[in-house]
Amino acid sequence: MYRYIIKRLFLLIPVIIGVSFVVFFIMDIAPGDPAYMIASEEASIEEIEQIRHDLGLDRNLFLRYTSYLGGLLKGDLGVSYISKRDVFKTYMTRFPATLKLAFFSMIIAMIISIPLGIMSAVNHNTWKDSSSMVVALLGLSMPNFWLGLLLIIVFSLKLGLLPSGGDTSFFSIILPAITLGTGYTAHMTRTARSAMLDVIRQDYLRTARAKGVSEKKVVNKHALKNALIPIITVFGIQFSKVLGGAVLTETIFAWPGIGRLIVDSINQRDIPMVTGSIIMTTIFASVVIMMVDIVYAFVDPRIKAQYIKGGLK
Amino acid sequence: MKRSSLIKPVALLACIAGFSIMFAGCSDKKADETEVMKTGYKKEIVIANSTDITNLDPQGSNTAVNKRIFSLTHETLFRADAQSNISLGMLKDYSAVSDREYEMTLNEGILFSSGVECKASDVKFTFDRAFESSFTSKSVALVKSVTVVDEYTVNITLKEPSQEFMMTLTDETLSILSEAAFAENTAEASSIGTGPYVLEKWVPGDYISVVKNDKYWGQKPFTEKITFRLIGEGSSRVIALSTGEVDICLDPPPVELSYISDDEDLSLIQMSGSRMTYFAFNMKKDIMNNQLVRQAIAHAVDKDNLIIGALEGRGTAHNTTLNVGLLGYNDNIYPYDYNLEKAKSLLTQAGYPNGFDMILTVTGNERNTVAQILQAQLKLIGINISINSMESAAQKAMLNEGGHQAVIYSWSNANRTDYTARNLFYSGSGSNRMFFADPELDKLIDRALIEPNVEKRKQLYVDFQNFTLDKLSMIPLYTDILTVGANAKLKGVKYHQGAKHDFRYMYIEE
Repeated sequence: MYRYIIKRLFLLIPVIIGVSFVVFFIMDIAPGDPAYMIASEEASIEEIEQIRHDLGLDRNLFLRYTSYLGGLLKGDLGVSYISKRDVFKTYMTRFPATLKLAFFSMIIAMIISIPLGIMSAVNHNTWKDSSSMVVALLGLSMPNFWLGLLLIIVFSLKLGLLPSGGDTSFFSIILPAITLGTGYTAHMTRTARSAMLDVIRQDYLRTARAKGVSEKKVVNKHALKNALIPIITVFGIQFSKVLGGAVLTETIFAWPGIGRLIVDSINQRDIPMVTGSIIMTTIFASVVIMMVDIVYAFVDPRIKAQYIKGGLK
Repeated sequence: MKRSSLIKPVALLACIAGFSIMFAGCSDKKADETEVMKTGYKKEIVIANSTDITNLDPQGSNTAVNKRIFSLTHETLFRADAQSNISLGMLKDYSAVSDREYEMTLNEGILFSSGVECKASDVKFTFDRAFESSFTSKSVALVKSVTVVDEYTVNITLKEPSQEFMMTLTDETLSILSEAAFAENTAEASSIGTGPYVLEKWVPGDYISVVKNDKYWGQKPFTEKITFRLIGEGSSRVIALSTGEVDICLDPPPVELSYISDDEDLSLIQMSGSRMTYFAFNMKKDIMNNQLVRQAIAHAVDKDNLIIGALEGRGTAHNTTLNVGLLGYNDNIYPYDYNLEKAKSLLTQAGYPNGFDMILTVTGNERNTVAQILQAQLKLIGINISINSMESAAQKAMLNEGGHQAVIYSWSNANRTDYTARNLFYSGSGSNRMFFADPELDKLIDRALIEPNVEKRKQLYVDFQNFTLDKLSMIPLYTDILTVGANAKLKGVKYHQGAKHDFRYMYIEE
């Protein structure tokens, strides 16, 4: 398993190089010049040219990219054009908030979606199934900004129970996590339902029932375990997505996450900040996906056997 | 997997969530109680910003949001109040050696937040550095030399006389910096100033906090700590004010103002701003360089309806080419009344009886709405506007390269007339979005700058406005109204037309 992890980590290197090149290239062809964003409104053409020269923007894309790559190999993500601060440090000041939001929103999504999906599958084509799907559909239909504002109005403004925004206390995470988690609930409920439906009709469960095993045990012990793989997959994908930022939720709740950092940096043409943030997000997202792959092995012995068979002991 | 292994963690998390919600109210109350200081002033005042602070270098930015921080952490040689009255800032004394040479003496004992005393060499260092930044190079363009006379005295010599030089020295971009901090390569060297507050922490995109500077030489502030929180979403900003999470809400959205005015615990401050929004024509483009066409457009713009539609009435029609409050500002000389018949007739004279197509470049929601209303208004005289809505970076590049035909843009300055006239209209100026160039106007601007008699200078600026309104390379549209929502107990804030509010001596009595 360790060899598998190391191999996966090594595979990150070409991914990072590819991602950094694509981001660099896109930022280069995007309309707008970082020098105009750095300079004052009153700046003369000479001053703009001086800024371009100082930043190396007057060199061609290839030279700039190789220079950036050189820094990257030394672990240097550069300095922000706008704030003049170290990109890595800036990213890491924002990452804990994003990680917290990702973690709690996923917890909320799981708390709601897994029981709902199981109930729906077990009671297939009954009113319980329909009700669960309506709840899932509601989660999917409610736009983040609307639900977020609604929660703020009720829990902050009217009841005065929770902070309306910012990452100012432990309780600040509750409303953003509910807002974001609700959106993911729908997808995860449907995944849990269809995974359970696939499993629940299989012969080995019929055998278990015939042997007199209680329905509760059949579902929770035998069916759910086999239905977990697609649920974990979706969880991993959603978690990685949130690590890249949840701009709407972050904006409504003034949550200091990565999403707003990247969007603001794109708007300001802050190339080092954008590239560095996306590289860091790629690394974290890849680690999450890798962890999901590892979890597969623990959930399903067949997958573990495949890893071992492939020499990845 | 055992059943219990799934149920237990889920149950535990549910409990945590439940308890979190239950105890949330209790925790907030406790936090509030600890905020009350023994002195009777609230320890911390939180301000909700609508836009982010981008830079801690006074010479690296000139936006109002950044200047509010610089005015807390730094000081300037002279200081201007909201009415543009100038007084001594860090200076003990100054004298004019000639019409272009000044000797300025600093107060002794002024300490930077690092503990180092501010001396004449720091003033020189600040000016030397200012020549290199695009944010300050225009302000010091007339400075020929800065020489250190003695420990606390500098001699500043100008290339040409300037009647606006003292006012220029009040600008936060020329806040005095610590040479020692830069020499020692101190972290955040540019944030080290001599102001009443000192930087505590800055998390870009989240908040910035400043705390009382114990070494401050002047009157000590009342509030221990000031935090600026970025809450970009307007409704969230107002809600945070209503719940008491913030004490000041800057730029509340117009639709939310009634929530502030209806709440007896809050106060709504409204004042005329100094930001002028204008419709600029690129004089290098065909059709736009036809004066009759520009006049026709001016007669077809209904500013009052524009303000109602785009700003929900929260603005005033702007009828001249200088910002409100500047020397010589005169809004009674605008010759273009709303007259569609006259507009059509001018278009016919210009050779466009059936109108023409044009592209109007904009960025941001407000200007986009303005463009849509202008589109509808100019349609009445046959001009078909296509709106080119761009993001800021792309638009700046286009404007600098002169790729636009017309643009909706803004300019804000509340106390420097020459700076405004020169930057907006002088030939070759970087912020001359019209690419307007007229040697006669350049001479007029230069004359006004050196004219020592205030009344004569005022008249020269009236002449400037008449000239630019006649040429009409831009149509001034409106000045917005500045709004601030605040805790009703808040006192001591000096609100500024240019949104550079002075928060140094604000307090909330407990």
